[in-house]
Amino acid sequence: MRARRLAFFCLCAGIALGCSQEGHRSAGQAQIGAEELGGVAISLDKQVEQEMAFFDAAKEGGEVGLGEVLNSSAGKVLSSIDKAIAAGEGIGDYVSDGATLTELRPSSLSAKWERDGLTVLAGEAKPLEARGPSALAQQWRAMRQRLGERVDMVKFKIIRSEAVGTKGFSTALYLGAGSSGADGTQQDGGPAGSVQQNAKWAMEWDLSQGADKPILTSLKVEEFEEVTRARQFLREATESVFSGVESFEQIRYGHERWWGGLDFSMGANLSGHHGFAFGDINNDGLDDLYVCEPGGLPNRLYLHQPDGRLKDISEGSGAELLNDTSSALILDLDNDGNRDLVVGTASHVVFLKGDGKGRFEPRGRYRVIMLTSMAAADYDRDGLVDLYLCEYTSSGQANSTSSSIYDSDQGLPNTLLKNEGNFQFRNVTDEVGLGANNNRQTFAAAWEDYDNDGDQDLYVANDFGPNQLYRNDGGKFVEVAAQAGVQDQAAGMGVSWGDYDRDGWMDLYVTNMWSSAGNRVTYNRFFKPKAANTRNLQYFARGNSLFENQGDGRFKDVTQEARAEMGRFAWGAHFGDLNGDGWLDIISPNGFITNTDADDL
Amino acid sequence: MNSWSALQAQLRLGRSWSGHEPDVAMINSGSGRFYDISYVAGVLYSDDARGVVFYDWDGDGDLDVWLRNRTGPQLRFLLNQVETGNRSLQVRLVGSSSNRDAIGARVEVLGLDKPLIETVRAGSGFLAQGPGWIFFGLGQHSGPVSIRVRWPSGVVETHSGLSANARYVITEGKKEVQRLDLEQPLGWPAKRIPEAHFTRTGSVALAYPPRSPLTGFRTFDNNVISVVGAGKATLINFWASWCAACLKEMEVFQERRSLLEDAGVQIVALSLDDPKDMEKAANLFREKGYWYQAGPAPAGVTQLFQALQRVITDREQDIVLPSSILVNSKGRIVKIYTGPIDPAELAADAQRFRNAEAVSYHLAVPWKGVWDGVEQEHSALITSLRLAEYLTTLRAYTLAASFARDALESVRPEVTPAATELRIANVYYSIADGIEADAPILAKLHASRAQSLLVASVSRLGSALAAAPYEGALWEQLFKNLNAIRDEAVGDKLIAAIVARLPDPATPSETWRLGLFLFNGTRYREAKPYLERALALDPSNANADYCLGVSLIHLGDVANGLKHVNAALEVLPPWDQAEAQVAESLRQAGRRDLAQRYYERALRINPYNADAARGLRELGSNLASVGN
Repeated sequence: MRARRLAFFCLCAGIALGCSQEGHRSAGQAQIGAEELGGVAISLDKQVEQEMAFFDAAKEGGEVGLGEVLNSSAGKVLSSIDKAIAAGEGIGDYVSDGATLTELRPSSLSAKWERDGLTVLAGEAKPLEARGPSALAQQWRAMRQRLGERVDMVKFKIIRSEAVGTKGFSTALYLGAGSSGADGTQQDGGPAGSVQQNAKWAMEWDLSQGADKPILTSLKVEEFEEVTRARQFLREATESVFSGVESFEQIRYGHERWWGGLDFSMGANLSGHHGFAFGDINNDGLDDLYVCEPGGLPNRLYLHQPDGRLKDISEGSGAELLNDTSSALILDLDNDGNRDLVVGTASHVVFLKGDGKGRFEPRGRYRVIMLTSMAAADYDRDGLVDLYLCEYTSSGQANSTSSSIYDSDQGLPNTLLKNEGNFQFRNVTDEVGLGANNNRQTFAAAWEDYDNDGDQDLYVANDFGPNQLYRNDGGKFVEVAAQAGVQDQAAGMGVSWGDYDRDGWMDLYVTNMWSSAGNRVTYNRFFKPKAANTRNLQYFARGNSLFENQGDGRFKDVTQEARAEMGRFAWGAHFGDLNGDGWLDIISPNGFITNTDADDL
Repeated sequence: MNSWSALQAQLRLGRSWSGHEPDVAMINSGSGRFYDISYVAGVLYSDDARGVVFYDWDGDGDLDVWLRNRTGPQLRFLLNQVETGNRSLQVRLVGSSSNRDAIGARVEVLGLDKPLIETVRAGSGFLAQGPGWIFFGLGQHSGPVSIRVRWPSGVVETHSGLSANARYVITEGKKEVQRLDLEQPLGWPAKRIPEAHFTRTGSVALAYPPRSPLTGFRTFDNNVISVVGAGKATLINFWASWCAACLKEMEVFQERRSLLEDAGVQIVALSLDDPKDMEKAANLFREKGYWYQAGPAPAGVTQLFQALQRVITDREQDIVLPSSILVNSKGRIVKIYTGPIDPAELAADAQRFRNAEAVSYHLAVPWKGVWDGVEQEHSALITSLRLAEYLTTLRAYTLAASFARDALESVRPEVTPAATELRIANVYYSIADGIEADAPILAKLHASRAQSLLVASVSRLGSALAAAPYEGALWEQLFKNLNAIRDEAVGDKLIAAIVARLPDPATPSETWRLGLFLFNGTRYREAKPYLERALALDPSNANADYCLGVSLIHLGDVANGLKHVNAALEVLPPWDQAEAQVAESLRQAGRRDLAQRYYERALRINPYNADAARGLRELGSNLASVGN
């Protein structure tokens, strides 16, 4: 192994020149990355080198790799244009004089959907006769004008790129922008009017001035939506809910601090998979909060007080475990009227018996290897709630190349623990039929009676492989994902059940990875690692999936027509009725690893 | 190439992977179409979010939102201020014959134009459990509401005359329900917590402080400063004359002299200036007349810091200047600092870690808590071992040897896993290899340490196998450790002794399994008698036939070996790995012509068999001849 080059850089805010000395200030190790990866930004997945040795094409002048290089320069140009226009500067450096354009904000906008003060405007963008930089600048300003001064977000996400001839290439992108609006006035700290623009653009670029200096030759707006509402739905009150809570100093900071502030050997790790659980610990009707933390930080137990604020009762509760914890459940395991705790640590699921007053005492544990989520249900309807434990891979295997990104069988088996009363649990996975296809890298599972027969069925979402649907037939399970049409062969990370179409049958929303780089690469016409796999790989990067329960044991994939895929690099997306109209909305929490570096891998 | 490791390495260097991604909200239009309203909903937080929970936290009849993040803030609480005039109904169920939390109960709101159903769940989304309350948005429906509850027990009950905009507690088997009115919404002001600010600086206390390999330093004036024995904590501080932040920190140390001296801190400021500039640095320091000591950084200190940073925080980054290491009076490294130090923190640390020993995780955690059974899980040995391993990759062999000794001395045969012993031995072998040219005698000493450790662990595994001869995992570890022993004669003796102690197998199957274990461990001489017996007891065991054949080839009896192999391969289904393995054994036996034939057979079965392709290449054969 190559000894790592040593480099220093000096910490001296604002006086960089004063402390630099040749040979001491380095470009920084962090910047090596992209070059070492061959300049290819692959969010898709790094484990697939065998199937995607193809990405190395960049080094050999291949089109897919080149497209990725161009993509990064196109992204930079778009940001430059946006900044130049905001600053009132010209954009002639980025746009050809003959560039053909459509309207950026269609003149024909009309209301497509309205409810509860929320309006969605949409319209078709007409082609423009005027060409070139000044026409584009005018359109850009008109679009931005609607957003006003206080623009909170402008985000370009390039989803396709492909070479055109030898001197050009095309890109497709999503634009997302949001602001409190041109006519917005402040109201109790929140914006009074909020405007959001969602658009899909197709663009062509000329490369005759070099791959690092693409010139825009054509911009066509394929879709445009503008969403407005007088008020945003949600306002943040984190500090209020934690007011007076000393341990908020632990919660205020995340991995960015604790990764460098905790000895790694206590169990902190890179991916930061730590969850939370709500449940009424002290029988006052208010569900309390248990927060799972990395090794070395205590899990926190907060009482939900009548005034809405939290009270930290962790210390001395018996629940303040320092062990690396991924997930927890608050359940009455022994039906004594007091809720107990199930804490999923890196080595064991720990059972803690609650006294109804906020104190817990250990009542045994169950060995696990790499636990992710847990889900509880009384699968055999004996009156005692049972536990399904999801496991990923053993740490050794997690570092190995899996057999395939969409068909990995490297996972540890998941476990159904039958509650036999008095805190006794028995592994009944195989005897009830949950051993079928039980070798995937599982992130999450959720119980639901999808066939309306009165018992709890189970859906299991796996990273890098098909998911499982276990139909419960009176306490015995049959794996029916394939015939039900819900294998959803992608990077499954979360499961949410809900009747989104209100037909009386529970539908399924599965969280997956939406990867812009994956989209670009897999849809590129030169991307043919093994032709048969391309469709799988495209699906893999597609995003979240919505499956409509047909009521006959089968589900229909309605993701595309429902426009429900774009949850970004998502984790536990979930149904919830944000506006109380009876129709289930979705929030998709996302983002994998944000680090010191602004650029993505 | 191990790509996940490569990726992790990139992330350790500070790169992002799908980071800075804003959360997404989609609204359901009721006609099968969702619209992205992330901004208008108010969820555009570019956190690394993992989970979301909807819960009417303030009981005002709409769903508030909790987000769980990897980055800071780890939790966000978002109050719903939707104010649509839509009504709601919330229900909490209490099971009687069903489980008490009524998990799995299905509730249906009756009498609306479309069905409205919800289920009580525990665990959904990702790493999340939502509240026990279930929520129904009723839209503009204002009249009394009926619901049907299907309890997990199978009992179905209907409750009528419930009002909209209220919450109900409903108990299985009870007609009466408990009604709770809605509360006033919480009037808390909106306050956005900014997304996490990322930094390369900070400090971290070691859970398992290792002994410092650096025990003394020479100052600019050629005095020697000892780290151990002075009864003080020593701050080893890295600076350079060109680093303004360092010079400023040194001023701060000067200003806070009494605080630091009272806390029992001595400072050794080690200059990382180029040797040609060292005199300049020394003069700069002398001019200041600081109360503490300074000198040139000895070779290797930056590697030590780099290793600590990597092993303790799992971060790989350039060394930030200034940086420091705190060593307590017992000579243990208790804390590392990247960036300027707050003297108050340093003074407190000197007290806090004054008596820290090899196991000090109770001191290293920033907040109080309890460990559940962690003593068995963690061991001081691992930190030393990982430091030694990492320093070996940096070719810092002297430092590596110091930590390796720490690890070796911490081995407790009754609890230390054999796999850990193998890692320690491998470190010693690597050190021996690295220093052999310069220090051959010391190299021999290190190699012999590796060997003694392995011999002891193999013997122990052998004893375990004598008691449990069919434990595959034990055999696997045995061969890993055994085959790491470089002195083959010693290894041969050990395995012979272990086999001699094995109890006689009672059945043909047990005989075959012992043969297979030894075969998989490449101990063909020892495997042979078991395989022969297994085959004699069960002549239909083609696998045993195959293994015996390969063993014979390895032992030099190619003709008989091939007879067995061919007989077996005729019976067994096409098996490219087996063909390639036979080829490999033939190649090792010097039969290149025969080897080529079997490699080609492997490739005919599976053109992607990498072992066969490589084997053929090494034989100098032409791939084009395959497939004829």
